[in-house]
Amino acid sequence: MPNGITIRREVARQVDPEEAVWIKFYARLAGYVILVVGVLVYSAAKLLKADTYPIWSVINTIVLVTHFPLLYLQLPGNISLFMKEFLSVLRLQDLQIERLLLWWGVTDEFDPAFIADRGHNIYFEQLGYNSRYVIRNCALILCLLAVWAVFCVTAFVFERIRSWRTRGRRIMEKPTFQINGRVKMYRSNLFHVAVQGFTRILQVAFLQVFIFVLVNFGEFSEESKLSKASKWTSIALIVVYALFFLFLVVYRLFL
Amino acid sequence: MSTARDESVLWPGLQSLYLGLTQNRDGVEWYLGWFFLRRVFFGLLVVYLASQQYMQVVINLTCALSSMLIIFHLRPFQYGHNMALELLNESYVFMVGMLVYAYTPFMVDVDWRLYASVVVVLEKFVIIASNLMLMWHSIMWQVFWKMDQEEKVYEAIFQRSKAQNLAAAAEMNTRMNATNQSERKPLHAI
Repeated sequence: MPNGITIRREVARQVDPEEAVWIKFYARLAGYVILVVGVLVYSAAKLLKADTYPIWSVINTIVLVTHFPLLYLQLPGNISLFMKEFLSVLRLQDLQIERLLLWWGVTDEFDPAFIADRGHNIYFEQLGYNSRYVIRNCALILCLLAVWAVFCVTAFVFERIRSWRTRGRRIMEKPTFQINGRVKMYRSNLFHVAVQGFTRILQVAFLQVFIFVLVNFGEFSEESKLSKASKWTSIALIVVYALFFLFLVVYRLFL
Repeated sequence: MSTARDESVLWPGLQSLYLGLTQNRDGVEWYLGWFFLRRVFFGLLVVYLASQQYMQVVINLTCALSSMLIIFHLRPFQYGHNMALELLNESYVFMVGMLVYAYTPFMVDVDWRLYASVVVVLEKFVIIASNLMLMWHSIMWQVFWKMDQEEKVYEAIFQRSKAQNLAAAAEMNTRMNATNQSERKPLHAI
């Protein structure tokens, strides 16, 4: 084929089956090694009260870099396969959180909407995002947000009870360097810790949530239970992020 | 954002949303705003400009460069090493963005696309490895700092006890001398 000709028909990925097995194995291995090392190092840092900034920096960078294949690119089959497997491990796809939707009754394997569901375009599908619905693409993020929301409410109730028992005395604390001499330390109560975890999830997951809410805008028909649930989840996410961004402004202006 | 105002409240504030931001300089909120805006650009590019290949590549490169310039200009981080790390990561993102050119019709040689793929994968591992190594360095720094502090405490205790012993010995010596002098009879009395 002469150079400069663009193929405009869908071409199936062409990777040697033996090579594909090898690529998948190494992609998954790399993903698991990174996850395990990351968790160990993060735990050690928390335990020793060391600076955890590099781990959050790498997460923010990885989220960007691993989503480059969503661009309109002619990736070779092997790199495409590698990226899909690598990202699926980092997204903890092996936990099959998406099955919660089946368990919850939002959809099932014989649901026509579920069967007809496809990714936004071929690049999304090649990276493992095989759905237009935000609840399928961001199932893990939604679960994390839900769990942390419960933590926040529980911590709030706990702190209110504690405050009531100490007759509402509020101890003003200043940040100090006394614990490790390097990182500025604040003595936060449990509610602050829970809310900071929640906002950290919102910050790290922003890119994926934003992309898949935009994708979900194309399927707001409410023709199926899946579509309806996904639509209302998208609206809830928009509200949560709006409050999150509003919180920044309110904090800056009034606190 | 003044230090005085931030230190008067319990809530750590904007800095808790993005670890390592300084509290002593105006402009950290602009950096936070850019953090989200840059991701908004990326999302809009992949969803609504899905067929505009060169727009995607150029805008991504511009965003990566802009991030570095904003960091240099605002210097929003609390520590110099955090800023250096962030710049390193942004430069990696920029390099991956450059290599993305290899997957456009700009690069017609299939072999070169494969070479670029290998470099992209290696670069990802370099990003992760360098960050984890820095994290490990941070932890080790912490451990050694604590050991150093403990050593200083033990040294101080040792020095104090040594000084106390010396003082006690000197005092005892003085007393013994005083006692000896009082017990010693004058020569003319013998």
